[in-house]
Amino acid sequence: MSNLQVVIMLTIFAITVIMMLWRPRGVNEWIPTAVSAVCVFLIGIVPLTDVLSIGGIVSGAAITILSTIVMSIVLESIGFFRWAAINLAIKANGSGYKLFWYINLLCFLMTLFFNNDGSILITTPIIIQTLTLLKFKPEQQFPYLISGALVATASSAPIGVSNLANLIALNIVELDINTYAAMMFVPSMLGIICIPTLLYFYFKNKKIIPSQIPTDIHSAQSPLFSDSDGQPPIDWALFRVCISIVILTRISFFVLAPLGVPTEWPAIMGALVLILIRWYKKGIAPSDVLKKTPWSILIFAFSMYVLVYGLHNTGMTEIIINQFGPSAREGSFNAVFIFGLLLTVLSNICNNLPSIMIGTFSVADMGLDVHSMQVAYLGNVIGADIGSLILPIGTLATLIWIYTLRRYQISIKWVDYVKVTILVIPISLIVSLLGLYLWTELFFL
Amino acid sequence: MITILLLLGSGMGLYWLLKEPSDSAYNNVVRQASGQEEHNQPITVIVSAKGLTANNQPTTNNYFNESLKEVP
Repeated sequence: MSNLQVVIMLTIFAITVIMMLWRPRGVNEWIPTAVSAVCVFLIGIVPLTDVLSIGGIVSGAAITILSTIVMSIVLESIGFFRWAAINLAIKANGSGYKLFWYINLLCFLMTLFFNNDGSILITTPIIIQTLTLLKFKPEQQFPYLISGALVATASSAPIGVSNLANLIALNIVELDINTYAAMMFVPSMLGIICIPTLLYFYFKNKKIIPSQIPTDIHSAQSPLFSDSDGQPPIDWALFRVCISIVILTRISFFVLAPLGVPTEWPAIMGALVLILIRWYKKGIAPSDVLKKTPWSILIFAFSMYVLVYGLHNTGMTEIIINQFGPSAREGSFNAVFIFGLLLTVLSNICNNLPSIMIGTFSVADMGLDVHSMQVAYLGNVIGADIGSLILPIGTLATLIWIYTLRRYQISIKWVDYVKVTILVIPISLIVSLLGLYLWTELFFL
Repeated sequence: MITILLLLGSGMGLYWLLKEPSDSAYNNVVRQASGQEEHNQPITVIVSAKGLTANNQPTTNNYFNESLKEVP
């Protein structure tokens, strides 16, 4: 790679990042990344073979996200979100504080059960419907929406299967899914608990979370009277069938994976069955799925991968290895913190999926002993799952969250988002990384 | 094994969180929601071919009026 190409690559990348952060005239983040990716390809920094392999990586993620979107759309049309919102509002029993914690618990459990993208797609509409049901003002909705999104995304760290970023290189660092969970559950939980706790006190001190909320849920929203609000009543038979298919699809990931079946296949099958059942029972054609899919996010992910491959091809990985290798080799503490912080920075600039790939290449080539390599990789994952939440472009889940909010005519500015995350995420990240170091030193050395 | 246990735990947690509250609590809220507490609950008259019956089921004025129209 010539020096000229290195300079061009760095210039293109710097302009892309500036355009993404500046966003002149509110331009969508996918546009500068897509234009830059095309330039990088045409100049020859990223050859066609790399573009094809990126296509393979992104298509897997795209299929998984698409199938979850289908699931989410079907669940919405059978009234699942409204049902969940009503039950959540009733459970809060008139307390805004209780509702805050129940919403965070819902987001945490949903990510553990599905994955971060799926959780965002399912919990965001539930939260919006709950807040609408309780007639919250827009400024009162913000704490619930942002804490739900941050917890849903960060909660993908404890289990390997909850986030595509976690799985990218488990076998390269000689980890299996169960060892991953044993090493990561406790440290990542420390960070996850930190996020809603800090947010709770932050918003409570600002008196944005209402202490009391209405208990008289408007009759128009009640499932027993649902025909009066213009929405169809919940079809309980269809509801049970669809929920069963969702759960069976999830179980089939684990049953079929040891047999060598990629997780995309059961995901596609589950989505198709759901679409067909909805079509047959409710007469809703599948065309709405195409309209509601966030194609721009998938273009963004693909383009960002191309740019990061460009950086890799122009020697970024070697720079990381040369710069941080000597310190990382001094011990696990350094390895955990160097990679945790490095991935935090990289993810917030280039999104966590391509960043963790660069991080993994660096970890694998740094010449660390097995234990340090494993904890460095887990530090990578904490940086990519928790540290990446400072900016909305850090993860696909937060981009999907913003997209989902726009669908419901809720607009959250980047500035408002960052004002909160900059206070909460760095502390949670440090707590998690410190927890990872201590936990693995105590039980896995 | 740990992963499967965590997934099972999260599934059970979701069931607990999202299941409908117990009948009494749920009915209480729904009764409040529909504004039909004991003291002001209207008596619904259901008109059928066999005649008139009265009960405490909630209904709407429209339904009541529609029913009245059916009285021969």
